[in-house]
Amino acid sequence: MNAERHNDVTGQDRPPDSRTPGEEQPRRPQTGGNDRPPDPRAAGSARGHAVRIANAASGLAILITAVAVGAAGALMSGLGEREAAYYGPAWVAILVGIGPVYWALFLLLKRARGRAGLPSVEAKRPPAVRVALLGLAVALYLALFGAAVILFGARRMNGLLLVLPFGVLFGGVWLVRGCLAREWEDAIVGVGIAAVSVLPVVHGAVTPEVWLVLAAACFAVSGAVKHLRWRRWVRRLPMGGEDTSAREVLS
Amino acid sequence: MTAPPAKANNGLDGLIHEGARLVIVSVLSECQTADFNFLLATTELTRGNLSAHMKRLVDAGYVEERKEFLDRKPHTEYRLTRTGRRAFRAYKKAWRQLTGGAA
Repeated sequence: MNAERHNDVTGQDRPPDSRTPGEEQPRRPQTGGNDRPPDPRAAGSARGHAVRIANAASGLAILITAVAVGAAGALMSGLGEREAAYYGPAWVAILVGIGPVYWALFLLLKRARGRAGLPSVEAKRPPAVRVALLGLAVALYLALFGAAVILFGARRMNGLLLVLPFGVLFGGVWLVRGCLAREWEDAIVGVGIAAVSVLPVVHGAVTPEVWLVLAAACFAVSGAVKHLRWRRWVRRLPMGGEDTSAREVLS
Repeated sequence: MTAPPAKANNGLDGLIHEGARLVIVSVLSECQTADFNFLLATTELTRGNLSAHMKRLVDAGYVEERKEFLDRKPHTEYRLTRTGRRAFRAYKKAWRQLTGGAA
């Protein structure tokens, strides 16, 4: 056998090794693929796209929750005027129930998407401090609501006393959020809720229940727009839905 | 096992300072959780490449990985850890200082 030639297991000839015996072959650092220079523009574009799609993933959960809230408002409105003691607990139940209903629906949908091999994502949650402040504001609102029910009776709270400031503030927050994120359906929700909240001033017959139905309708439209965006995106994906990353480790 | 943090390069984290991983970390920074298929679609990497990059990020402790089977199909979900978020914030700060705020 020619000492100058080395055959590997495939039988293919390889050039002689120029290294001295015992010298280690220089190892290529494991980079996890082909290294390429960072492109902040590409990263920014991918991040912006991911934010929009991650928000769109919650569209169906928003839509279903809004329909449920609207139905509850319509039911309360349909029951007609009742005793003052009825409104406080009913409103508290609806306002407190919105969060858990939305999350339960969202998590169910997320799991179902994962099961179907579709992409699943959860948008970034707001910081804990902001959530705490929001919770405090809602608690204050509920306390004011309860006090107003006891002091003035339910029907006298229409309009300026409660719905207007809350609705205008809430609508303003959604308008700013929608504009900043360039998610125009949220901006429209903000304008819609603010407009609906001012409505009792113009039209005295708009009760808090009617306000709830109209506000829920705004969210339902926003949820539907987001869900359509999600569906359009998923339909454009070429993937077959298999997750090879997990297979490598779990098999 | 958690690998030691990558060596800094001009104050830039060497692990994040790579085209594909910068995109991955940028996307994950805007999500609470994202699964493999979502990252595949938003980063436009190949399966093998994404898988390898994710392994690097998981090994460094920047990303947390949760693996499960859903209807016998493997499903992997990722989230940026606190260390990862901190590292990405530091990277962005270093990048701004280096480039004078340019993108």
